[in-house]
Amino acid sequence: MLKSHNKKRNIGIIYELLLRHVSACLVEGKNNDAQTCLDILQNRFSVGTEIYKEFRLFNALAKSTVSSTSVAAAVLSEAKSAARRSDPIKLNKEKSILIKDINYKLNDAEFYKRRIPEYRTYGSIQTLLNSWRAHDESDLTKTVKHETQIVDHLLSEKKYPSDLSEISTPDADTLVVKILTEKFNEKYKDKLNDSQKDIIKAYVFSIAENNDSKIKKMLSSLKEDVMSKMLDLEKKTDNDTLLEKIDDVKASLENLSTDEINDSTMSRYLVASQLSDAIGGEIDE
Amino acid sequence: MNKNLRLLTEWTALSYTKDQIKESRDRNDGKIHLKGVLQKSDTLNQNGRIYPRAILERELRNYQKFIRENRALGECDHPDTSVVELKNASHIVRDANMEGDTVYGIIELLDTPSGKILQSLVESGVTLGISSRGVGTTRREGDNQVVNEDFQLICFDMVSEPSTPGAFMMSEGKDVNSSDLDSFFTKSDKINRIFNEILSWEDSE
Repeated sequence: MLKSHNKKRNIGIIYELLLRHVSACLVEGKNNDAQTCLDILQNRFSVGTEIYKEFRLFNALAKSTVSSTSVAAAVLSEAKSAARRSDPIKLNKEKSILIKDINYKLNDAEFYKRRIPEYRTYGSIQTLLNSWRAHDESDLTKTVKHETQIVDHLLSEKKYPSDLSEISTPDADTLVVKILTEKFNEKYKDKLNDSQKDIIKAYVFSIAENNDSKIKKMLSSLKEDVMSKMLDLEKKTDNDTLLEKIDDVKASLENLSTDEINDSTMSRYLVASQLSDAIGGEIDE
Repeated sequence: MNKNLRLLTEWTALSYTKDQIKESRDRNDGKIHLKGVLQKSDTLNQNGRIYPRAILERELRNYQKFIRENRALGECDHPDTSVVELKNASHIVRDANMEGDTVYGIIELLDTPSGKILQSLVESGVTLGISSRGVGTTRREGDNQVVNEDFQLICFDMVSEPSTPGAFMMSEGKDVNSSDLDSFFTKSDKINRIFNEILSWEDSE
């Protein structure tokens, strides 16, 4: 009989939960906690581990889209063979260490409580991988039901936000981007303008990819834009309070560095973006 | 910080004597100017709230533009809205400055219908208080509520003395309509607020 599904040993769910933990920590400014979680991901999902092999297999079933039932059946058959080649004892041991890392190093009571939208599909995939690996054919009805569900999933079109392709890079998993974007937008939907959200995304990816050329270009362009709007404001406004301060504000903005990218500089650029937004195109006062 | 902005009001007693009122009329071309404490920072107020000094200082800096432009109007009694209705304006703040944790101010009672009611009340020796009206969220720290960074000061209203702490809680705590707030702060107010933030960068360096 197929064993019931254990989400702590579901590699797809655990991976998503780890990513959600990283994104939650980054959004809340808990950079050390985010790094601890990234270290777990790097160590436990490293190439050559059984977890890595199972995760790749899992992803092939969870993320691929195929055009016909016959191709889906072939994918399923290949996945079954691959699952049977894995070392179940080693895999179980690695998963136990991963769970221990999560429980003892992350210190997050909410970790397993976070909602995974594809929970049912992920549950079916893991159940199938487990049963294939164990050569368990005791409950064919359930196996067929799960296999049918996965075939349907393989045939379905996977939907991600349209702007993801623009910010996703080979080094940044689409799923990471998706989760980070969802979490971020949910928390700051009313607090940040679009430009500020773009700046933060670019900043996060500049750190993740260790490449700050894109963010530097973005900040440089923002600085140019806000300085130009300040000149417009200076010409058009007759508000004494603003006119008294405008030179000092321009000087502060002019001094903003585009070379030194850190949290402090970024927060100032976010204010500059807010100013650009507030000044807007028309000076109506 | 996903909470909605809420109306937050705080009461502070204004003390004056009939003689002081008469003297004020004599000195200010017949107008009544009341001097007193408008607000306090880092102090537990009657509603169990604490306003961190940096936040109150920032809001007072932004409020200077209202004072300068003769727009620092207030109402007699707290309405349950975040905007100041001109038809209900009773007084105008002429000066507000911070010394230590205390915000001191000068309030001029206007010759509007509501203002005349206030004039009559103070001349009759009725104890009135000044109450700040603002919007923002709070967070719990121990037994107290601490006002968060998103607080925005709207005005100072003249109100009667609350009989019990939290007497104005009926009208406050209400979710604020963001479009009302948007229309209350002009474009130059919003730009000025950001200017002040940018100018504070120098202080933090």
